[in-house]
Formats: sequence, structure tokens, C-alpha cells
Amino acid sequence: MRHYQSPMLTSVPLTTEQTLLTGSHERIPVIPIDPGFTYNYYEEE
Amino acid sequence: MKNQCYILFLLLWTIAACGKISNEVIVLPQAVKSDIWLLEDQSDQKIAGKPGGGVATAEFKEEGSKTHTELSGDGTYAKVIWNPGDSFEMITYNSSTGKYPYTVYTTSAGGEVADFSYGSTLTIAPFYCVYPTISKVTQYGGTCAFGVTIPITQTATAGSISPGSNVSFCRTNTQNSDFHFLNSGSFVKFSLSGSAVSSVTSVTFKGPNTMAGDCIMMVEEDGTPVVTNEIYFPGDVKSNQVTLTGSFQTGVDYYLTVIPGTQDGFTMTFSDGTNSKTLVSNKTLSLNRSIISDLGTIDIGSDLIDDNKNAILYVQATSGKTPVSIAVISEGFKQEELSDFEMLAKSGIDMMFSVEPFKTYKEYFNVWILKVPSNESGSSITDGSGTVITPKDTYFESRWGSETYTDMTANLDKVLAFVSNNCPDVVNGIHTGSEVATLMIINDTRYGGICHSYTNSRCLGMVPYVYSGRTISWNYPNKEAANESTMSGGTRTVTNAEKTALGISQGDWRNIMLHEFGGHGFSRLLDEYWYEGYKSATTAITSHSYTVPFGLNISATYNDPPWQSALLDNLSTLESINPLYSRIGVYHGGDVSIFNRWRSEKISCMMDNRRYFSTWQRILIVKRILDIAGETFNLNTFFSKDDPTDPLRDIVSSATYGSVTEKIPMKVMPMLPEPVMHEE
Repeated sequence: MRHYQSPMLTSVPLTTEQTLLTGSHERIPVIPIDPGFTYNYYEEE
Repeated sequence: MKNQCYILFLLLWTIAACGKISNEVIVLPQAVKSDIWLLEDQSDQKIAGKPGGGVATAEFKEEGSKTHTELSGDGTYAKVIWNPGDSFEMITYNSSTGKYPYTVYTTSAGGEVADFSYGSTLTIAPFYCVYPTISKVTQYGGTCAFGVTIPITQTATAGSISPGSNVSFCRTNTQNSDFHFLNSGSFVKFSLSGSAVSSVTSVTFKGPNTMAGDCIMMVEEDGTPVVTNEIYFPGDVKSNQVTLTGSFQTGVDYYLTVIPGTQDGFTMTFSDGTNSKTLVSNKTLSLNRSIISDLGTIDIGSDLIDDNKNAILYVQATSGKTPVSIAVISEGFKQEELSDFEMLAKSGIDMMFSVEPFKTYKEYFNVWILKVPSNESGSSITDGSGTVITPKDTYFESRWGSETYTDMTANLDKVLAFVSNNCPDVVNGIHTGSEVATLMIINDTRYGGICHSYTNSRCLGMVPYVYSGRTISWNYPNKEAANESTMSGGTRTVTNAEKTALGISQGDWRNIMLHEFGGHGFSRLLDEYWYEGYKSATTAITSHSYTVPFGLNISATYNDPPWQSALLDNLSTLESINPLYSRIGVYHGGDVSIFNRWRSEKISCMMDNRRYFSTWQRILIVKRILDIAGETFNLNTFFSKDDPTDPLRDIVSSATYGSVTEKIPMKVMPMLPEPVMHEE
């Protein structure tokens, strides 16, 4: 399975052994964080 | 000239497109405005490009096409999923032609690992792959710099990020390989609870520093993408906030994509288009690249109405007979901006109490955050000599010049009356208004900062939110006295090596606050820098004999300075306790005068705004704290608690700086004016 059209600027041909050109992303770790939506001390009314 | 170039570009582009020659883009050179390292260039915009050279900005045509990646995962990590139709762009740089050949890859199937087809083969390694497709690239510091955008407004998507917001990057030396992309952004995850959630149509996440918009992405030697806000393409738009729009439900995860960086405090505003509720946090968020910061479930309650408490006791004294009271007041913040003020106030106060000796003696302080709205945002602009030329209707009538900062002032009587009538420590009879050190945070991003000090303890530190929290730096003077004891030797040039050894002070508006309010205002210290070519001081320092002495950190004589008995006479003992005390001495220059004024250490906050007060300054600050608190100062007790570490010189940063990061320029600014003294 190949996915490319006729190259326009080719000087380095693709190898025929290459069957897939794939794209993937690194996985993203999740870190819990206390948002801290509280005042530290007394609030004046 | 710019328009002519643009027309020429369009013409050439049309010819190229009609002829279908190739998809190699035309390079459009632009004149660079000025060397971005020049001090004179104080504009808030930097131009991407080599300093002193031309900017080569390539433009592409497929910007923003088909960008849909989404997230999935098990809660401990997220996978990035391609959607059918997603495209990324492969770009190379031909240094001999100065052009950027490119091709676009597209997947028809999607998935965590997706097959891509592409239009043409490129020949010049390395190949840079950017998702989503981009429109701008240039050379900066010998490497490619890509114009990318993390959207300021994003779409609320249940369980995933806003489509197109995950700017990602892959560098490879062969076009025949599989492409593994690194995410350049950082992510914030949250869910909501409370009956008001169903009416929410937007959630705005805001911090003190830039977190979204147009920015430049470069790549470290190891292939890691780095997004910087310090270099700009002309016309780039940035923001300190990201707004997520759409409908929201309880129990559903939502994500924001932001530019990596540290946010010292943040707010989240939940709005239904008419009413809103803002939650303020003093939490420091380290929003690192390719990390999801999960804020958990946020309860917004049953309504979208702000609490609107006007006086917040942010720091509460637990030691001393009398609290050492500080008031932080808002200026130029409209009613709906008071949560921004609260965030900045907390961020600034947290920073001050991270610096010695405030850190060790925090238990003596009451810090009140007092909110008062202005009718307009910002501050009035003067001609630099006190005459307002662009008025703003602000509560305390703050004002200063565009080019000079020496006339910076406000309605000082109104400030005192406000603190007297609204600071609970005054209302309750603990202090008079004049005894409460007052910090005014101004909702204006112009450079500035000054302190109004009085012969009694009254003071007002005026500090704007300079450059929207951007990093700025200050230098040691270029010249100094050649002889420490007399002016007979004239001046000498300070070498770059000497400046490097002292550390280059980098910070933000809070460093100005530390100097103006923490140093001049509360601590009653004089400046320790000098203006090159400034007049030589010839008189005694009259402020030493004020009702509350001011400027005891500066001596008018080389012999027997104020720190003689406490420090110089005990120097060998102190050095045996900690070698860092060997920095104590008698150094020529200070109080804005290059000659005939002396300071106790080579460098400190009162010189370049760094987070370090000299040993003698720390003693003076602690004396002041204990005097107000009703306790007796003891030198031995002081040294038993003292920490003489200068973070800039003595602590190796845990951050790793790559080759690209080191190329990012610093914005060097002049020191601000000396304090304005008033009789009272």
C-alpha cells in the first residue's frame, strides 16, 4: 500500500520495501493538580 | 515598501501557481525594523529574524486545513487520535536558495497510527513535519522557526481537545520513515459540578502570562519542539487567556490547550453570556509540554454571581504584638476585571514572601487585598512632565509618561483616605492609614514603577502589570567607580565577564514590585544603582534623620558606614558561618550616583530588581518588621534565621536549557526612577 503521487522534485527515490508511511503521536501523561480555588485565610464580609 | 513587496509576492506566486512549476514557495524578504537587542527598541513586539539582517518569511497556502486530532485514554494518559482527513505539512529549508520546499500529507483513515499519502518528495534533510499545516516559517539563530497558533478561542469538546489545537511536530532525516509526532502544547483538564453548569456557555482560563495565540515553534537538537513568546512574526496576536465555548455538562471531561509555561496564579470564569462567576487561585501551574494538568471537578455552585468580597485577608499574622499590615489596592481595573487584580495581587505577594527576609518573617504580616473598581481600564498617559495628554477615568487617577517614568503619581490623598476607610486594620484601630504600607497594582501594561515615600512610615508603591507579565531583564551599569574609596580614579568599564559573574537579573512586573514596594516602600531602602554620567552626590543623606529613617542601606562616607559595627567588624566570624557573607564590604556607587555614595554589597534587589536583598538590607528590613510588631531586634537571633543565598548566583536552575532556548533574546530595560520623597 503506497500513498503518494508522482513526485515533482525527486532526486532521492523512495525505497520499494517501504509499504506504509504512518504518523503517530507521543502519549500524554495526566497529572492531578488541586486547583486551589480557596482563600488561604479569613475573608472580610 | 511592505505593500510593494506583497504585490510582488502575489504576482510571483500567481505565475508559479499558473505554471504549476512546483510547490516550492517564493521567499519574501522583509526589512528588519531594528536590532532586537537594542535597548532603544522598547516596543512590545520583536521581529523574527537574525539581528541586523533581513527576515526571510515564507508563506504557504494550506494553512489550517483539516485539523481534527482528538484524545482518548484511560485517565492516566491520553492518546492522540488522527481523524480522517487530517493533514500535516513537511517542510525543508534550502539554504542555497533560501526557499522552503514543502508537501502536505493527508490520511483518509485516521486512528492512533494512521497511513498518510502525500503530494511530492522532498530532497533536503532534515524534514520538519508540522501539524496542523502552517503558513509562516523563517530562519532564526540558524534554525527553522515555524509560525504556529494555539487558538485563543477553543471549542468545548466532551472528552477531548478543541479540534486543531494540538500543534505537534516531527523532525526526521528521511522521508521514508514513519513519523512520530511530539506535542508542542500543554493541556488543562477539568470537569464541572453544580446546578449552574447547564447554563454555562463559555469557560475562560486566564493567567498572568501568555498562554495562547500566535507563537513561534523551534526545535531543540534532540528534536523537542519549543514554543516561545519572545520572538514574533509581525502581526502575531497573543493572549493571557483561553476561552472554551459551547455547551457544558456535569461529569464530562473538558480540555484546554495552552502554550507551555508557568502561570503564577490563574482564574477560571464561567459565563452564560450575561452573568459570570470567576474563581481565583494562587496556585502556580507548571504547564509543561505534552502534559495534561488535571484540575479535577470544579464546583461552580447554583448561580453565576461573583462573591464580590472587597477586602480579603490574604496573609494573616500569627506572631508579634501588632500585625505588620500591608494593603494591596486596585487601580484601573473595571468591576469585571477585579478578579484579574486579585490574581495579580496574590501572585505578587506570593513572590515577595518567597524572598528573604520576608519569607522567614511572613508570620508577622497581615496582607489585605482591597478591591475598588475604576470606570476605565488602564492609567492616564502624561507628557512625561505631569500633564495628562491621554486621560483615563480611574479611581486613584494614576498617571505617567510614555517615554519617561519620573512623573508617575496618583491622587495620593485619595489613596490614604481609601486605605484609612477600607483597610480593616485601620478601621479596627490597629494602625493609622499612614502606617499601612500600600501597594497599588495598576492595570496598565506600560513600563513603569515608582515609590512615594514620606518622612513618617507612609508609603505607596505604584506598580503596573508591565508587558502583560512578560519576561524582562535588567543589567548592571556599564561603568563604575575605578576606586572603591575615592572618585580620584574616575570610572572604569565593567566587563561582560564581570556582569555574567554577578548574574543577569531576569524577572517580570513582580520584580519591579519587589524593588519599589518591598525595597523602597516597606523597607525604606534607597536605590543602589547609578545612572551613567549622573551627577556625583556631594551632600549628606538627609533621609537618614527622618522620623522613620530612610536609606540606611546607603552611606555618604567610605569610612564607618552604617553597617560597620553590625557587619564589617564581624566579617571574619560571619564568613566562617557562611562564605556567602564575604560579599559584604564597602562598594563605591549607589543612590543613583556613581561617586560619593557607598553600598554594602556589589549587587542586590535595589540595583537590578533580583530576588535578593543584601545582608545589610535584610537586617534593616527585619528591624523594621520587628519594630512595627513590637519586638526587639537581636543580631544573633537574626543570623540564626538568616539565609544569605542569592538564587541568581547560588542556585543552579533545575531547568535544562537547550540550544534553541539559549538563542531566545532577553528584553533589557532601564532601571526605574528613584523614590519620590514627601514631608509628612
